[in-house]
Amino acid sequence: MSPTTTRHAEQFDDAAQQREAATFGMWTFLATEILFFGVLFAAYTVFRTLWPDAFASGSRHTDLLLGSLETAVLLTSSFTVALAVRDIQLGGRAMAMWLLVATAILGVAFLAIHGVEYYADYKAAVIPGIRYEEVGSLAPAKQLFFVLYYVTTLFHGLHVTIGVLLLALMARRVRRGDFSADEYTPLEISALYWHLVDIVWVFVFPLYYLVGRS
Amino acid sequence: MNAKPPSTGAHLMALATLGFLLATSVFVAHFHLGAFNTFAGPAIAVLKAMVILFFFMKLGTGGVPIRFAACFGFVWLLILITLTMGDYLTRMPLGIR
Amino acid sequence: MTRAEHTPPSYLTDGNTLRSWLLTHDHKRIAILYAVSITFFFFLGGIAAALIRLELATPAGDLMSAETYNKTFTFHGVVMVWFFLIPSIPNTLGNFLLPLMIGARDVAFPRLNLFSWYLYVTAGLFTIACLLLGGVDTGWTFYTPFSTMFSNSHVMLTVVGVFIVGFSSILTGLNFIVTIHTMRTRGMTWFRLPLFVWSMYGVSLVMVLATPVLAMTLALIAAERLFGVGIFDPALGGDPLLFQHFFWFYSHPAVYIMVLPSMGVVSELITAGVRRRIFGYRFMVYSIIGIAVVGFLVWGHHMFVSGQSMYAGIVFSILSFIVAVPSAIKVFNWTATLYKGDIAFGAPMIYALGFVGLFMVGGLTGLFLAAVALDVNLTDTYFVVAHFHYIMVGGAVMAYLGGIHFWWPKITGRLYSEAWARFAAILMFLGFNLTFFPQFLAGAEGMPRRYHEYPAQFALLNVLSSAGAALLAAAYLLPIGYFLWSLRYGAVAGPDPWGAKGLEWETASPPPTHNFDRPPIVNDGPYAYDDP
Repeated sequence: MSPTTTRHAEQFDDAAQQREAATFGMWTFLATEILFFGVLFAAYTVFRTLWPDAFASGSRHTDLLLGSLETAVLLTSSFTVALAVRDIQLGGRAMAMWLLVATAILGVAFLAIHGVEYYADYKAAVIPGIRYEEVGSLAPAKQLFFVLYYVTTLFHGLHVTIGVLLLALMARRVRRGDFSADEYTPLEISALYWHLVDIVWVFVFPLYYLVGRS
Repeated sequence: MNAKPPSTGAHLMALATLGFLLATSVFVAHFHLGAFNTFAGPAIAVLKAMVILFFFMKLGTGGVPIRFAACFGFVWLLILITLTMGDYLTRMPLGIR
Repeated sequence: MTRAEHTPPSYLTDGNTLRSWLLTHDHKRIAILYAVSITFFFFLGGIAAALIRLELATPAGDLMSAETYNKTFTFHGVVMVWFFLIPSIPNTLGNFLLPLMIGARDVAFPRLNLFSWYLYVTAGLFTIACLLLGGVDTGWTFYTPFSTMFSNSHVMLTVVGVFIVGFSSILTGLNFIVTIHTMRTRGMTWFRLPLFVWSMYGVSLVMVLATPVLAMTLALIAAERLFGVGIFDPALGGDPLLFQHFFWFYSHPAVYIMVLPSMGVVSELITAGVRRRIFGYRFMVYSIIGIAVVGFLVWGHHMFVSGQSMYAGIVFSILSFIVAVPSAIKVFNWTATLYKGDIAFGAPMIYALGFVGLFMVGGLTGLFLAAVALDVNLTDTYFVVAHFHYIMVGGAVMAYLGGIHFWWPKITGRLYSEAWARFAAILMFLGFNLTFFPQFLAGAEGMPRRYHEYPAQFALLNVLSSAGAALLAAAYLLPIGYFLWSLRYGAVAGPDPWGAKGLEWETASPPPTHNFDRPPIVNDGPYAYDDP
């Protein structure tokens, strides 16, 4: 979406206009992302209202320790990517690159921890459509909880994966010296994207991990 | 647009705030507080999102169109949830589960 | 003419290879790519419509089986909604005119613009593949649980196609919003924007905010079909009505995706035809935004009889009445603009007047359907079919064709035959009314939609309707003929053959690749026809 050189693309009058268009475009895109995930949150609200006990029971199935760890990892990654942007703004380079690499590694760590969770779910047979062996009166409605949990976390995981690739690319571009204190729009909008991925998880965490813990 | 960025210390403060909010939400979830449990998690999530939006994403200095764009996603999601729930919540007293 | 030597080549002659078209970043060429592909889909959907009307010419189901009939109207609906109506004005006229009207060299993200065309084509291939493999029979609405549990047709292929075309819409909307915000030329303030640009802004808002909901909902349908999980399946605790909520959260605003651009086009056509400023410019702007926003609050009127709560039904009904207010403001303002004016009845004006009349009938019958008590009787009858065809065909298609006529000299540099164009426009208006007005009557008498046979008492009305469809088909084929003719034999148009105002008329016809020799400067509002 964004041009690859510090010179502005020919449809723009100057670099400032290009930068404005790119950041505003990213924010608009993030609004669409909120609505993509929003459908899942809306379905969650409806079904949790209809089946509160099943959702509490399903939520107790999730691994609170790993979930909290994942949240901490993502929050930290938001911190590191923000620092990377700051370093570039102040004219830095090497530090920014390593911060981006660290962010990407935290993203991979998030995915790895989630993989561990999925594997445990598979062994516990709570993956609807693949291996689901819950019984009892709550089983059908709990199935809804797990379907939403899987669709949401997989879709979020897809976003994390894209984000990791994007951050790795940005690290490479920082290393190559593509950005300066005056021109770093691609890095800035990649960071915005990463923060949104974080925000989505911030809402996923209490809704899927913290219900029915009391 | 190229205002001087906040210090590393301020970034650390933001991270610490987020960590504190995370710990609080996990902690609070373990107490039996009735309906408050339902609202505590999402409410703390809103606070965390605010920290990320306003500190890390610099929404406050982003200009009016950007603030509009950020609001629109959330507001439209609220429309979707509110009107849909309007149906479900008023449906149940009629005896349809 | 020493100037000719310095004139840059027009966008049409700037590169003649196929590659220069298929990899172009020029918004005007992308508009042409869209125009060709949506015309193709329009005729595909039109053939399906012709088959439907042919089947319904007699009460007995003698041409096709019930199943084939279901697949035919589904194909008609899917193609016309997602592959013609939604991209029609935004992606052709919008792409072509938006940068010209705001004095920009291109849209903000030209590569994204081209990418969205490729998404559109990919999605179209899925839909055609579905047709070739035997079609899909769920209706364009994909209602659950039929679409998830019972239908044995190619639901997945179609769902994937619609999913992809949704991304094409989202990217176009995003591109337009950013373009309008950041690329306006000097002096082009928000309240100097032509109403067409405002309508593109409104429609882009709807595309960007509604389409993600459709995409995710279709993904859930796919998950349900592939893995047998039950979000919409009542046997597994799910709720089929939730699908309808999500689907109509997109698909009702989608009606405004179809009609808002038409309103923009008609505002341009009417002001140019009567040579006046638009009456109540600011209210026209507010009503565009009002329709775009309030249009999101009314979706439940599609669900009055589907089992949603009575109270929700009442709320949605009231909100649906409210959305009629900004629409009415627009109709009044167009009429006021025309009042006692010196109207030139060229083909674009005939289309515009046709639009206003047919949109009014469609809108007023919409009020019937927004009233819960009446809707209970009229829902799923031909009254509904007639109502939305008045909006979509009588409204959107008329305005689209009117716009194509109006800007044809700008797009191609040639003038079409005015006599033929007027004849086609009038034939279209008559054919349209003959096709769809009888359906109001049939629906009011209780003829249900979506059946391939019907009781003999409805025979006369259906014969009239089918006859009208034949006229309509002829009226749609005529422009193809005289437009192609004009490309070679039409008179050279010059920059502004209609004497119309607006930045797009200030550059050459067809415009050069970068639109303007130098960035234009604006110092007056749009439609300054009263200026000397």
